[in-house]
Amino acid sequence: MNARAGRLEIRELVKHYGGDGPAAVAGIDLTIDPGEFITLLGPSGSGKTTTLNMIAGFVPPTSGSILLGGTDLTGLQPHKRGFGMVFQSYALFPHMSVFDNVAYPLRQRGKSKAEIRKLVLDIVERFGLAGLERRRPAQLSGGQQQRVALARALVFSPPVLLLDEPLGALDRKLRAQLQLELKKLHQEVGLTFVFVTHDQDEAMYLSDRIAVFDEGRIDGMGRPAELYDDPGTLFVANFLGEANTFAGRFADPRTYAWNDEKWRTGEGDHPAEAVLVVRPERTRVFAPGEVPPGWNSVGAIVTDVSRLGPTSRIDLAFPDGRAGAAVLPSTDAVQVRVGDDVRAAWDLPSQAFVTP
Amino acid sequence: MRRAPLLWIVVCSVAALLTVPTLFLIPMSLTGGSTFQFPPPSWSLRWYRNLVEDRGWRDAVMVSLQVAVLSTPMAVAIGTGAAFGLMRLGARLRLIGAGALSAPLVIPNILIALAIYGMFLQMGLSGTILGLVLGQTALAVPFVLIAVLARLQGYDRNLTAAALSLGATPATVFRTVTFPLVLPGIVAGGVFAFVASFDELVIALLLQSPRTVTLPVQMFNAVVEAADPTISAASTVLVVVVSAVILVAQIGWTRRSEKRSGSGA
Amino acid sequence: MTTTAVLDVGRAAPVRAAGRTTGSRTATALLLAPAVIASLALFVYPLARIVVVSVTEPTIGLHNYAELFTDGYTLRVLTRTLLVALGVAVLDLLMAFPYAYAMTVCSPRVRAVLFTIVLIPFWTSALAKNFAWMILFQRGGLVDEFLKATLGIDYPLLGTTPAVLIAMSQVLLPFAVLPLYASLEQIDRRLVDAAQGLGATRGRAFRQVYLPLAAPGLVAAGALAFILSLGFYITPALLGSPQQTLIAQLIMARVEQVLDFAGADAIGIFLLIVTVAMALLSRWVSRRATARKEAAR
Repeated sequence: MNARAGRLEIRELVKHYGGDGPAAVAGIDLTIDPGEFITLLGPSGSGKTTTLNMIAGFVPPTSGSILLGGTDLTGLQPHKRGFGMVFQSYALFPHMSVFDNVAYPLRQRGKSKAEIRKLVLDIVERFGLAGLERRRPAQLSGGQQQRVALARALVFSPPVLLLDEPLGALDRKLRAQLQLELKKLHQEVGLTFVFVTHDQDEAMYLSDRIAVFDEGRIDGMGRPAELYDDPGTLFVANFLGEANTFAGRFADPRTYAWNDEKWRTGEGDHPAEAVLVVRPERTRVFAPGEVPPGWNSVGAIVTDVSRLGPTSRIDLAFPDGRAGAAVLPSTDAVQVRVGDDVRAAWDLPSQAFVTP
Repeated sequence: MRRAPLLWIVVCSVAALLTVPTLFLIPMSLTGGSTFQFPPPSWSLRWYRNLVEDRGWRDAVMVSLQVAVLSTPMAVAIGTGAAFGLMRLGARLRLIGAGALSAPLVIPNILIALAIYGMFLQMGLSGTILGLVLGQTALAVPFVLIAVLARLQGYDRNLTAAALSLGATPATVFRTVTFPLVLPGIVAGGVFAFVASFDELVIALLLQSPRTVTLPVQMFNAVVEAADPTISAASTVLVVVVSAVILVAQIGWTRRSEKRSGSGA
Repeated sequence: MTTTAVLDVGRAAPVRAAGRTTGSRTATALLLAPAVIASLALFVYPLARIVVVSVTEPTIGLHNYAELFTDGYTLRVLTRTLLVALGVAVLDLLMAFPYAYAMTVCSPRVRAVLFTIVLIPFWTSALAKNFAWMILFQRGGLVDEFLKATLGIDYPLLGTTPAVLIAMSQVLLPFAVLPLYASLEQIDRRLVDAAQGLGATRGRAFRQVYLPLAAPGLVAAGALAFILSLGFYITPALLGSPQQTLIAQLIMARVEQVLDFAGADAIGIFLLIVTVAMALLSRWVSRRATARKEAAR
């Protein structure tokens, strides 16, 4: 398959729907490299789908521009943009066979009958749909339907594939299966994938980069692992996985004060106003007085202990009443009981400072 | 699923009540005698022959067909356009608009007939084919509107978006995706419109003249004046014609959708 | 707000893809124009004209309406019509309720069959149906023979009000079943199971849990049957007694025989008022029942 790709640039994209409410999209800047798998991740209403729809051309931006390979697309009709698109509801034409569905974009481009036949049967074969060409979408399973939708969107070799929560309608098992297929597909075809989802596990698994959306803005952007370890903002820290968060202040450049605790900040820069964040799997539990030297710790009461096989989850209540957790190997959790007074502790590399 | 026998006895009785009475028309229309005796003393097709040979009956069938054939396309055009137009409005306006345009369905039939009759009388349209066509179109539009609107509201908007994303111009999208999917509603509406017109009595009764007697009016007059089993034959014809139209539409539709599997857009 | 705006895409797609917002508004107007014109010309105007006629002829004033209540005959016809309509509504509910209920509890296949059966009357000519009843009700007809044999009644029903009642119930039955089914389908039957789980007997659970939930649907279906039978002409004309006419026949007679348009118009408008009042009443009752249902939750 042809992999014509171009750089997709989004500059200061804004969408205001009128009235005096907040903007749906309040200024997005994004550069997507050719062949990248980028996910727009965020809760409902965060503007990620609106952004995708603006890229596709279905929603005209209030201001800002979208460029593909240097050409400005703003104002160009959706049917002229040439992006492939996959919808959550698949949007397969119910009155057409699988063959006709997949052939549709090729017919719009005036390809010859022979060429259409070849391209369609080729891609149908590749996607494991051989033999189903004459069937109607209603006669296919959910997984098959989604593959047809993908085939239809890719058969005309678009430079970019836009995916709007395509796996949302599937059950867990099927979802996992298709996630794997999607990842392999991306590696094979090398096209730019712009993927929208609210499922952070999915985003972490599939993406080269993730853009986390919050209320119309990109709150954090980066590779999944980087974003996880160094979230940058409190929103990203909470959205991407779990976090134990402590909103305190810097007593001095090397000390962070929270409640009655004083913690060492370690090396590296941090913003002037920050929240301290530690992931549960980097949090350990010790009896008071047994915290290793150099570690930061906080008092906590154990509210629940769950053995999840090789790891255990210890739910904690911190002095300010908020909840947190520690996830550790079960061997280290043997002595912990509900109601225990413990010290939750972490070493300096495990903590991160994020803007609130 | 509870197997309460009493419930199912009631249901079957109701089902029988819904379907059986009309079936009696068929043996009645084939009677050899000249009364409505049941069971018929003998069998004969003479009343059907009478239906065809008698000038009065034949003309009535012709008039009914003429009016139905003229009013149906008009009602379909008006109703379909209105349905598409309503879909472009916000939900609230659409509800109000649909309600307003469907009002003829819940207003007592006699009142609408009276109103139209009064107006047509003044305009000299009473007793004309045009008058009949206009009157029945007015009654038929709500049927078409509801049928098409139902279909449109069930239409998945993403289909249009998908087709556009695949490179089809808006006009092509309409031609290849939207219209084919709405068509069943339009056809259904057309069938309802035809049936409503063909079977309509009250307006036709008021607007009748010696030259514009529809089949239902002819039947009604025959009952009031002097009944002979031709009425049964006519009724059976009515039932058959109406059912046939619906069945043909259904079968023609299924065949068409099967053919589409091969070709298409 | 953002979510609904996003849902706009579908609607936005064809409209905005066309480019110009003003262009699409013209298109909307063009699409709706014929229907609006037809409605105004063939529905609104004639009705308005009738109202005007009823209060201006032969002289200006409400005497046509006053006559409705002073003329004993008209009053009797009105009352009779209302009673018959009520009877039809009750009969239809008695038949529609079990039928619609059965449709909610049966398998999808059976439901499809039941659905088709209910829709058949829509396809068959109303006139033909009434005529079939004529045959059945006549002297010597099946109903007559049946009654003679079972109840010893030797009185043909053709030309009587009971015949009208029965025939209209049958003709209007689908109009009661369909909305009732739609409403009953929404009821969560697990509530009844829950009541039984809490110790109520089958009958009790049904009466105290299911019926109140079904009430709004029942009221709506009954009201529809009532409203539709008010203005019925064919059935009473064909099956009814000339001494016991209903209002539609009265209107017809006034127009065709007496040529008293104004009087007929007044009766017609009165009929409309009763219809609208009934519709509003049923909505009010139904809303109160729904409110009580919500409160009970």
